Amino acid sequence: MSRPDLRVPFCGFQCENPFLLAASPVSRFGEMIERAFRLGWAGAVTKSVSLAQDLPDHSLSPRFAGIGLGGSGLTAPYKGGLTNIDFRIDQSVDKTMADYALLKSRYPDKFLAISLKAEFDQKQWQHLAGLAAAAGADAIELCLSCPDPCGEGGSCAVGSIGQNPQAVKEVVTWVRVATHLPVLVKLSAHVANLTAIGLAAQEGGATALTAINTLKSISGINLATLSPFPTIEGMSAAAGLSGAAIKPIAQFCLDELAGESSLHLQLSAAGGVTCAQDAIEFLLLGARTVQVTTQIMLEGYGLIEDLRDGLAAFMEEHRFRTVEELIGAIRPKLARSSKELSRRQQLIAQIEADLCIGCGRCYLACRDGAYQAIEFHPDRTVRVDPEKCAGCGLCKITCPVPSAIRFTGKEEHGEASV
Amino acid sequence: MMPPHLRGAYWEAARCLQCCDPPCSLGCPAGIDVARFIRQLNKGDVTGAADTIERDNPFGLICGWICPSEVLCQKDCTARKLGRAIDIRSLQRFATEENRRAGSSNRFLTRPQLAEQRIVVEGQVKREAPTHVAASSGLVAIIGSGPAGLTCGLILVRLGYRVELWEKTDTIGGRLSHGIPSFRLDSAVLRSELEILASPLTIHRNRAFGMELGLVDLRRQGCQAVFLASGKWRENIPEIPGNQLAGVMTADQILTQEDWKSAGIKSAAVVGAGNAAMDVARSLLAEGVEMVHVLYRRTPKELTSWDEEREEAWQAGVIFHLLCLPVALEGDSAGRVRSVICARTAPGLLDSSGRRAFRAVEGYSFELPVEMVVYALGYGTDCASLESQGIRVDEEGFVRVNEDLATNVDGVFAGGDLIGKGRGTVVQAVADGKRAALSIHQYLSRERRQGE
Repeated sequence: MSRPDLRVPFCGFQCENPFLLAASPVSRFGEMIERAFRLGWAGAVTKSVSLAQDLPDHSLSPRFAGIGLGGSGLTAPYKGGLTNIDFRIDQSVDKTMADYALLKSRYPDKFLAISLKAEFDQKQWQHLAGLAAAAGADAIELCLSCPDPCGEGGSCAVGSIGQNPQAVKEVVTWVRVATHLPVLVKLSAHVANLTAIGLAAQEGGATALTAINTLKSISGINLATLSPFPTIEGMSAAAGLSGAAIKPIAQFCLDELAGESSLHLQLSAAGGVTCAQDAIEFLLLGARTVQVTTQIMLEGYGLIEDLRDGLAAFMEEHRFRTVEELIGAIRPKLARSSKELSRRQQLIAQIEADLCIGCGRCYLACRDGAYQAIEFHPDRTVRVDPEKCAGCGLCKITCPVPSAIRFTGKEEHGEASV
Repeated sequence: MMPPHLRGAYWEAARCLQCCDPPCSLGCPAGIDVARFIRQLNKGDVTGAADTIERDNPFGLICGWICPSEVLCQKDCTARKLGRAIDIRSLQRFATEENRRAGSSNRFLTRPQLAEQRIVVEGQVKREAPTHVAASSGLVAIIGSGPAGLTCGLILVRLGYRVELWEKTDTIGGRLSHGIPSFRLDSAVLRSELEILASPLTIHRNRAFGMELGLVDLRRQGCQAVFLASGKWRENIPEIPGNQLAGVMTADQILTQEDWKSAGIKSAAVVGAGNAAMDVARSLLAEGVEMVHVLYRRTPKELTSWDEEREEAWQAGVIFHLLCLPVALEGDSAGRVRSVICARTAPGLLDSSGRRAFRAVEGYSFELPVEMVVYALGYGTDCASLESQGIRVDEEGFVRVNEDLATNVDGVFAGGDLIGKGRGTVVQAVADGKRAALSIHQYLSRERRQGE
C-alpha cells in the first residue's frame, strides 16, 4: 500500500495535512508562523486582528495561568491546560497585515486565514475584511466568540455577537459582501443552542465553522496570598480556558455540529489537541482540519512531527488512503442518546495475576465507588467476585498497570470457569 | 541550594501509587503514616505532610537525612514492581525542611496536643492515645540524650510529667552528635534540630549513670521511673600484637576527633565493614587519605552495612578486601604503624547470631603497607555500670527488657542501642523512646491508682 495521503481540501485550498495553528499567541507574527510552516504545519489562522489594537495599551502581565490536575498541580501545573486573559497584538493593524502579506507571498502553498475581531459594526468588519483580502489571505476567520469578559458589565462586545444567531448571520453577510474569500466562523461552547449559531453562519454565507473557542473559567486562587490567578496587583478576572481539560467539551460541540443534517459547512476542530491521537479523534468525529494552540505553547511547534507521523501511522494501520475517508468515519457509532445503547453487553472484570502489582487501587475504587466486587487479600492479591461485578469499568481506569485488568463477557466468563 | 533529589520531590510524590494498606506505613518503626504524608505532599500540603511525619517522629527531619529507608519503609514499596521504589527518605526530608523554611517549627512540639501515637512492631501498627495527667504528677529520670531519650522525654513532658535528663558528655544527641560524618548529616541542621527538641527538657550534662549517679540517687531525688537510653559506647577492639603503635585508632576517634586530619596520612586500613566502617572509610578519603582499605573477614553475604552506604563508599574509591583477618600490626623504628598482616579466612560453622563464623586459614597471609589502622568493629555495652545497679544484661551485652521495655528492676525501662534491636537506627531509637514513654505513663498511672 502506498503512503497515506495526508492532504485535505479545506475552504477551497489544498492543505498538505489537516494541522493548522489556531488563532492565538502561537500565530501572532509572520516570523513565528514561518517557523511553524517550515516544520510542517499546513497552515495558520492568525491571531485575531482588530482595529482596537491601534489603541495605545499594554497587555496584562501576567496573563496566563496553568491548570494543574489533582490537588497542588505542583508537577506539570499545565497538565489540565492554560488560561489566558486579554491577549492582544502589540503592533498596529497596518504593520500586522503587511507582515502577513509578506508571509503569504513567501509560502503560497500554506493555508493562511486571517482572523478578524470587531464590534457589531458593519464598517469595521468590512474594513478589516478588505485589509485581509489585500494581504493575500486564503480565508478569513471571524472571531465571534471571544470569551474574555473585557467589555462593560463583564461581557465582551465581540463575544456577545456569537451568542445571537441573528447577529452572527448579519456579520457573516457583511463580510461576505466585502470579499470573495472563504469565511470561517469561530464558535463558542457558551451558547444555549450551538447548531442554531452554526446554521445562522451558514445562512450568512460562511464556508466553514471552527469549534471551539476557549471556555470561560476562573484560574484558581493562591491560598498563600488569597488572590486569584493570574494575579495582577492582587486581583484577577475570569479567563479563557484551553488545553487538555476542554477536549471532551470540544468533541461534544463538534459532534453536535457534525450531527446536524441541515448544516453542510466544513468543520475545523479546536480545543485540547495534545497529540496525534487527539487530532485523529476530532477527524473521526467529523472535523476536516484540526487547529492547535495550547500544546504548542507548552512544547513548541515541533509537535507537528508527532501529529503528522502519528496520523500517517494510524492511516496505514487502519488502511485509510486519504484524510477525506477519515472525516466523520465513526459518526454512525455515536448514538444520539445513551438510551439507544444495547444492554445485552454485560462484562466482568478480569485481573491478570501475573501483571497485578498488588497496589489495591482497584479494590478501593470498587469498594467506595462501585459495587464492592473486588476482594483484597492480606497477601496483596485481588479477586473479582463475578456475582457482584457489574462490569462498570472503574477498576481498569484506576489500575497503574496497562492491560492488567481486562473485561470479558459474563457468559464467556462463565464458560471459562466451568 | 536545594539538592536535585529534593527539587524533584513533587514529581516523586506524584509517582506514589497510594496503595491500599500501604506497605510503607507498616515499614516505619516510629509509626509514620508514610503513604498519608506522600499523599499530602502530592496535593501540595507541605505543612500537613510535615505534621504527619513529626506527630509520630520528632526526629523526622533528621531521619529524612539518614534513615535507611531502603530496608524499612521503601522495602516493600509497590512502585518497586513498576521499576523503582519511591524515594521516601528524600520526600520526608523535603516535607520537613520546607516546613522549617516556611517558618514553622517541629510539628511534634507545636501541634496543640500530643497526637495518638502509632508504633509499628513487626509489621503491626499499635495505636495509643494516652490521656494527659495533672501537671507535676510525677518525675521521670532519663539517662542519655540520644534520640531514644529525647523522644521519651518529649512525650512525657507533653503528657504532663516532670522530666530530668542526664547526659554523660557535654553534648546532647548521643550517637547523632558523636560519629555521624557531615557528608551524611549536615552538622548545622543537626545542631538546630537538637536545640529545638531539647528546649522543653531539663538536661544535666556531664553526668554519667553508674556509680556516682545510680538508681538509689535518682529515687532519692524523687524520680518515680527511669528510662535507660545511654547507648553502646565501648568500642570492640581485637587483641592482636601491635595495637600499642601510633596510628592505631578507633572509629569514634576518626569520626569525632580532628587531630588525625593534620597528620598527612596517605594510606589506612579500616577493620570491619559495617555502617560505621563505611563512614570512617569515606571520612578518611574526604580528608586526603589516598589509599583506604576495608578489611572484612566474611563474604559480601554477611555484610551488615546497608547496600547504599557500601555503594557510596565503593563509588568514593574505598578498596574492599574480603575474607581476611588482621592478625598483627607491624611498626617502624619510631613506633608508628607500618603495615597490617592479614590472614586469609574460610567459612566455618554458624554462630549464635545465625551468621557463619570465619576463621583464619594457616599458611595464607599477606602484608598490607598502611600508615594507619582504624578499628570499626562495633560497640559493646558498658555492662559493669548497669550490672552494678542490679540491671540484668544478657550474654551479648544487651539489657533484657520485655515488650513494654521494662527491665528486671521495677520502674526502670530501657531502650535504644542498649537493648540491641534495630541495629542502631535513629528511627528504632525513636520508636523505643515512644514505647518507653507510653509504658512509663502506664506504669505511673498504675502506681498512682494503687496509691489512692
